[in-house]
Amino acid sequence: MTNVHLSLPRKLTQFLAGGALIGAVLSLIGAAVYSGGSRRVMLAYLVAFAFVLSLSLGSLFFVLIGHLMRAGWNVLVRRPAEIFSLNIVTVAVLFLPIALSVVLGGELYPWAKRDAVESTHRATPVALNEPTALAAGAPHGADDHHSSLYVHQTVDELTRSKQGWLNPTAFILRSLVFFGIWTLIAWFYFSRSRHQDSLAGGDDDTRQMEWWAGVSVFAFGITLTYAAFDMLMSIDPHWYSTIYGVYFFAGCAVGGFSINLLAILLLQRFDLFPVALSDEHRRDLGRLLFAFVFFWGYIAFSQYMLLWYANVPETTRWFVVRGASMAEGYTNSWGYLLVLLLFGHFIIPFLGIMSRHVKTNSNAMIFWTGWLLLMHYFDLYWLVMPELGPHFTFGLPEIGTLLFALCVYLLGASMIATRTSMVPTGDPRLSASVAITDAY
Amino acid sequence: MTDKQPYALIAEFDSVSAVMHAAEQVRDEGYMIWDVHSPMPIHGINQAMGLRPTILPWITLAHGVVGAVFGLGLTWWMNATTVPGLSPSVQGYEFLISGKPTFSLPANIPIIFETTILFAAIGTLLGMLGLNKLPMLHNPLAKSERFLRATADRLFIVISAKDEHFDSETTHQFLQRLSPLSIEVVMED
Repeated sequence: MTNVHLSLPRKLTQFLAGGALIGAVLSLIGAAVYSGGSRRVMLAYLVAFAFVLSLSLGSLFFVLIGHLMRAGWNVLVRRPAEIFSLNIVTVAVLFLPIALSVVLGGELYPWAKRDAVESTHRATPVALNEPTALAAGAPHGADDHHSSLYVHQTVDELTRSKQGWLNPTAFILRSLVFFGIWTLIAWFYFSRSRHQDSLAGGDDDTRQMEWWAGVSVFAFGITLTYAAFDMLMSIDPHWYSTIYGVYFFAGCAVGGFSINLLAILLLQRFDLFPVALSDEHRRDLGRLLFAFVFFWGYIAFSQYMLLWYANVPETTRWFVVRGASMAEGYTNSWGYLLVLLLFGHFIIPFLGIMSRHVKTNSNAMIFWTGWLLLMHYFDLYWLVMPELGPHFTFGLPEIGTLLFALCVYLLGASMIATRTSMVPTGDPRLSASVAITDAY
Repeated sequence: MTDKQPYALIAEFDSVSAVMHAAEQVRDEGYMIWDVHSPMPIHGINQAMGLRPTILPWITLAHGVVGAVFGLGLTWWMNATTVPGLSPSVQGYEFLISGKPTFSLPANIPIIFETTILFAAIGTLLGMLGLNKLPMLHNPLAKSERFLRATADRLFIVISAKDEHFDSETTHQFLQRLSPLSIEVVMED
């Protein structure tokens, strides 16, 4: 097997750079045109950032579990995941606007606002199934309930009491730690694997990678959880859910596995992948994706069911704002997005990828991985954007920020990939992985 | 003694590659009722034997769907129905929990999930046993001293006498061409 380096067409680079530029312009236009546009663009940017972050973290997870389990089957398809996980450095650059917003006291996170309003308002308690008690004291009309749901966006006592953890300095320091650890792990696995490519043989690098996989998985799990708390959950500083980190992780796995499979299938389609992928590889990758589609649904439901059962006003607010309430006066148009996620992120792909004939069909899997990436974006969208208000919005700022972040991300990935072989040619298990056969 | 019919012809091999190669030839010869016995799993033997994909996943799916419907019916009947005049032993029990509707899907989904998994798992197990015709308390092959090494260090190809291509003479000659260590006729009980 020759050490074939990937060479992507020049047009692709220009295309991605152009896309990033158009995205940036669209975002700026969106910020200028819409009322309250700067907050909306920042929230939309947070979604786009979380999306590309999750792609890298999901890929890193794929690399780590392979080494942790001493897996042979995934050696052939590991390199794209190594590239996407090292691309966390691009994600770190994309994090700068968010860091800047926090340092400057922007509108993104209520706890980071400089003009800390001396208000003791708290979000009015709302129960999912008993709106009448509240409605009696408040003026009638749907919008009146809604306005009471967004009171917490001013800095109040409850938010201030959390400022020991949620303050700009601590946030920036923690973010440095998160990105430091992720980059370290990703760089270690990428460079070891590349180093192995350059050797004639030997398993020293493999042993080192396996040895460090255990520690890395621990570090990965803890940093991912706290990053989800910091960067996403804290947009509503009142609300907390201990399963939130796992929920974000489930999305990371779906997104990361999807983009890896999509990348491999597309490289194969354009004859840029040096080894023929067998049905077994396609089936195994499809199975892994299938498992995590279900895992996402399982975790999403677990989070919902516990909060639904407890029905505590402070915590149900989060779901009410996201369209989960059917009580009169508390419904909003985010509910449509919620239904889209239930079917589009869980039930339809679950049934769609179940069959092994689908898993081994490249065209079908290109469709399903693209579909799941889109749904994963809307999953993060649903986590963040409803904080804007009760009306579903999707437009220029959202498309612009996604286009910008995704194009920059793919540009970074293609730069890392260009000087790299698409398979880990030095891995001692490569030939076994290529020849893998499996029972039915 | 003399009126006993042959049960199968068995050919003995001592390497995986030899038995794989032989299996491909048995497959290509058109035999349908035959098997390979090995002390360890052999990757790729399915293709070498030309086995069709199992229908077990469909059995699992069918049981899972039945389990889901059962779970849905169970939670509905037990939590959300009162039928006048019905014996209390089969009567549902409408119990109000924190003001929620008696039929609340979020509360029922864990039950439905569990019955789906339970039915699918049991269905898979029973389906597997059924497809493999297990438990099989006796197999004429067990009489062969030589065949007992199939659990230790030998691999065997067994062609059943029930196969329509089976003929004591020609099948024996065919197996001879596969150059096994030995060939043996196993008789019916």
